[in-house]
Amino acid sequence: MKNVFLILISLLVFSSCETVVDLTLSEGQKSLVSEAVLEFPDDSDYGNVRVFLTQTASFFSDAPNLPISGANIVLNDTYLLDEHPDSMGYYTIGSIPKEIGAIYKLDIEAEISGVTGSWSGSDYLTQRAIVDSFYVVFKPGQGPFDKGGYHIHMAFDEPGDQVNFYHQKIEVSRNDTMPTYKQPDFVQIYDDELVNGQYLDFEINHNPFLLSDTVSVAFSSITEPTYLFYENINQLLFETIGIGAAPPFPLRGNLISQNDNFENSLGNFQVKNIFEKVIIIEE
Amino acid sequence: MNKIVFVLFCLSTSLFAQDKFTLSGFIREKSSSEELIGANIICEQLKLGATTNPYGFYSMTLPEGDYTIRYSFIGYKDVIREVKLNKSQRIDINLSTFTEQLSEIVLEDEALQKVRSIEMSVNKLDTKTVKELPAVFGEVDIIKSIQLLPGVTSVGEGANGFNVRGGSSDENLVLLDEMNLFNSSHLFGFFSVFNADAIKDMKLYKGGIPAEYGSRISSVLDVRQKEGNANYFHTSGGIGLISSRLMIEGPVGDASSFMVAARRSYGDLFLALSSDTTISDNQLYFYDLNMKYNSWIGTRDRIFLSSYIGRDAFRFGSLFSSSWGNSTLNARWLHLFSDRLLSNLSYNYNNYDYLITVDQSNFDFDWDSKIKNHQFKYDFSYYHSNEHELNFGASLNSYQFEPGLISPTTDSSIVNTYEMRHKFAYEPALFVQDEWKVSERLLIKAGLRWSSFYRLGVDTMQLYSNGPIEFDELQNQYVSGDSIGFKAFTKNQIVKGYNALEPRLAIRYQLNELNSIKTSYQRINQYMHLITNASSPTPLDIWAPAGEFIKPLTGQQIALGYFHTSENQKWDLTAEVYYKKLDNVLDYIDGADLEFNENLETEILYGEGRAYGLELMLEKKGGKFTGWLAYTLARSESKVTGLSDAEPGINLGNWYPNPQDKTHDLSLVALYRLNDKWSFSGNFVYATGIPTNYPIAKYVYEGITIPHYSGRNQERLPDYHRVDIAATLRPKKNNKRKKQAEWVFSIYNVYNRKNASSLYFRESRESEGSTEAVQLSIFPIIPSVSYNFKF
Repeated sequence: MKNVFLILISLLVFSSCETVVDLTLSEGQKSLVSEAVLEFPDDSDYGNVRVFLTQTASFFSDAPNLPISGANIVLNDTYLLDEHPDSMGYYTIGSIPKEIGAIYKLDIEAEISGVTGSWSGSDYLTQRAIVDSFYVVFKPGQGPFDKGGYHIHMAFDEPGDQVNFYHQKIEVSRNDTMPTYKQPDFVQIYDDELVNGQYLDFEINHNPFLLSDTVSVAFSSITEPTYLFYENINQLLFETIGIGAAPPFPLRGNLISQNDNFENSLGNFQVKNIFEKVIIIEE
Repeated sequence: MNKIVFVLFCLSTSLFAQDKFTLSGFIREKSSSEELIGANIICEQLKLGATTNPYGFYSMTLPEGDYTIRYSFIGYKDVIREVKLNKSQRIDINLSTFTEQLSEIVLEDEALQKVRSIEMSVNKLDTKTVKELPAVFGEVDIIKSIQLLPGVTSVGEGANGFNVRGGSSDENLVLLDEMNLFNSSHLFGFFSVFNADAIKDMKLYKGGIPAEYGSRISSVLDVRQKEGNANYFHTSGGIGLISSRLMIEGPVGDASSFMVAARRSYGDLFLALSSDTTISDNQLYFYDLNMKYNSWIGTRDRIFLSSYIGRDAFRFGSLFSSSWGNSTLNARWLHLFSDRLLSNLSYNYNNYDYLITVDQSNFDFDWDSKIKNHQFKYDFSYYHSNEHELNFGASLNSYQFEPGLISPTTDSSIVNTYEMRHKFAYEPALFVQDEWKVSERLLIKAGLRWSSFYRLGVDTMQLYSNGPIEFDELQNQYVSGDSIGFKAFTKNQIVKGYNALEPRLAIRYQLNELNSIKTSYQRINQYMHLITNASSPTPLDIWAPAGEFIKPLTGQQIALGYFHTSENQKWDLTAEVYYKKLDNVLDYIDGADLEFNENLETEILYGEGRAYGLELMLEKKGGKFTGWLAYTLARSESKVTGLSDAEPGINLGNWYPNPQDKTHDLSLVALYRLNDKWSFSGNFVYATGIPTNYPIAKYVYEGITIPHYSGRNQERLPDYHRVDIAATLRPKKNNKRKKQAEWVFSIYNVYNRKNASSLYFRESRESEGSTEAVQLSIFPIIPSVSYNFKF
């Protein structure tokens, strides 16, 4: 809230003088980056693990982050993930039994620049909120910052007897292409601090959709550590810039290094209970 | 026989006691009858001196005899009185302003006063000088002016508050007529709350803080408003690019006077003229209202009523609005018991609050936060003799913290009402201090302050199994401690209490007429913290009191200084070194969530801090050309190691620079009075860039490029420097009319330096997949003109 306030002040009061500058930055040791998720779809008793491993790159480098191939990834000391033959650095496995409240543990062994490291992390499965309905509303534009368009609403009963955290991801197919998505519109997190126990009916997108857009919505319940991880990303990207900003900080994930060769992995391992819906925007 | 001996003893005692008499009174400005603070009184024959206190009162005890007493004050003509001192006398003096070049004697007094005085680490700026300095948008600003002095810095343009000797802005006690201001800035630090037209005097203590002050460990900025012209009605004001102001003062009967000053910015009035509602619906302004009334009741009693109300308001269309400000009141009774003893009984009230309103779909709510402070103070000044001047007193502060109330503003809003717990506290204190003139060369001021702080109910405290914050090794981050329940406190039940003795010591040794060395020591406890993890605080930050889990900050400072004035008293040189040690320094874990957090203790780690430095100041006075060069070489650091060796703490437990750490800080100020019509001023400022963090790598997570950082405050923004100039034109005064006017032309940041206020990193807008560093600057070159008048 304070950051929104300060950004608005900057926009209104100042033709904020922004200048792109040249800087020489220190180079850090290469670190492992893990995008690891165990998803349990709403309508199934089994889940799928997806892990994408890359390594960090120099900050001003134009090259994409290098994927890491040939890693050894195991879930719960039992399930060995397979690397996708066509996508280097991408590992999967399915048919993981679902158990609400169970802890799932992921172990990774990988090589970066010829040095082997190992990492381990865990998360648990929470109960999901049951979504009542999705519906589409058209809103006309209001002023230069709001062009008007279609907004999707989601409605459900927020469980009032516990503290809940949610993750929402939107992907849009427009004219048969997938636009690159960026925060804050397409990945959002929520907690129920101010709305616990309420019947919620809210708009899930700030930027409007257009007619014929195909919108895929993935709404998940997540654990508090995973929520904090996303909140830290949000803070790092949006609350550490400009006037009155907090100092930036290294994001901490839950994949802990098991030896001295490397620091802890960036990114995290999360377990989700997920509800998915595809909506085509129509009049 | 015994009776005769007794009578003779009494007679001899009586005769002995009558050898000394006291000369006392008030020194005032002749035209307005405003008391002058720090005016000098010199007994020529005995070479004894005194100065007026903050109420303009002096007292000097001398042996019976005939004396020549000289009364003087910088910028005023001396008054010399021949006094036959055969009984205690009250002599009130009126001094007339002296607009021509200052006499040698006046300069001498002011220069020697600095060498002779026991005060060190103190800076004074008269409002006349402040008004002549170049100012951004032409807005005269007291706080920006004191930043041109050694040891005083800002975190950057657009930053709230100021920093003294490496301390954060919440470590400064800012007083306006004894009223404690919790926020001393408008528009996020662009301007201060002080309307220079309403100000009579200001004094900044950076060290050697007297025992009458407490509660903040780094500095005291004591600002006094004018009393109001007691002789005739007088108006002054000005019109500038950002704001206009008006002050009216005058007598009320024979023994009273008043002063009212108002200021308002008006950028938003131009926005309202636009036909485009996306522009006209926006609002941004501030206003100040300073008021004071005083009255003499007889010759020994005086009452004062003083008030300040200031407010900032901001609105962005219909979506978002906010306002914040101080409302303060001071009621004071000054009483002269005798020519040696006076008292000052005061009541102060301050209410600082902010309100945010959000109006977005069905997410409409108000967010209200405030802090209320009542203070009673009873101080005494006893001029025991020329060797001893005693000050003692007591104070009691009560605080009511209302950190946040969220309430829905419409029936359709899905926001629940939520209110953070109110907090209550009392802060009593006692102090005693003696200024002891041991010899002509040696002067000692020793004081002791006992401070205490009590958090009281009604309150609820969370209980933890192993402390409020723990390091989760599995999650690799600090997390809230395991809560095992709550403890409730009834009204006025003590939640937590703290007590501390705070010794103060200052010593001056005069080497000769032109040179002295001084040293000081202070220990101060601070029981309230401004909760912010930003590089600079904002008006939306809240104050949190010490309690079970939030500890008081303790600061000790030792300073040593050398003071020299030249033979002709036109040049002053001051050199000071200081060292500050801080315990229970409070800092926040990475990514701390401070907004609307009922349990801040779960985001806080404690450590130690240190600040040390060298301050040099060379000042030229008198003549057409005046000014000063101030240089500070300093460090300000903290070290937070965490609760155990297995934890990273902050910056892996190593020392790291504080946001207000600036290695070098230089100010060069020049004022040149060409003639009665034209005067010019300019300043050059240079400072090391403030600490910041740069990424050491980047990575992609869920399609988002994320910079990877290491450590805290390990890099620096580019160095800051700029030049400002100003010219003041005073058209020839029309003797038929009493009106005086002047035009002030100024240019802020003459060579348009893009000083970095912050630097961040983002994906390149021109080259997808690349990243770039972006520097945010606030003020480019800004010419301005303002018109000031008085009649």
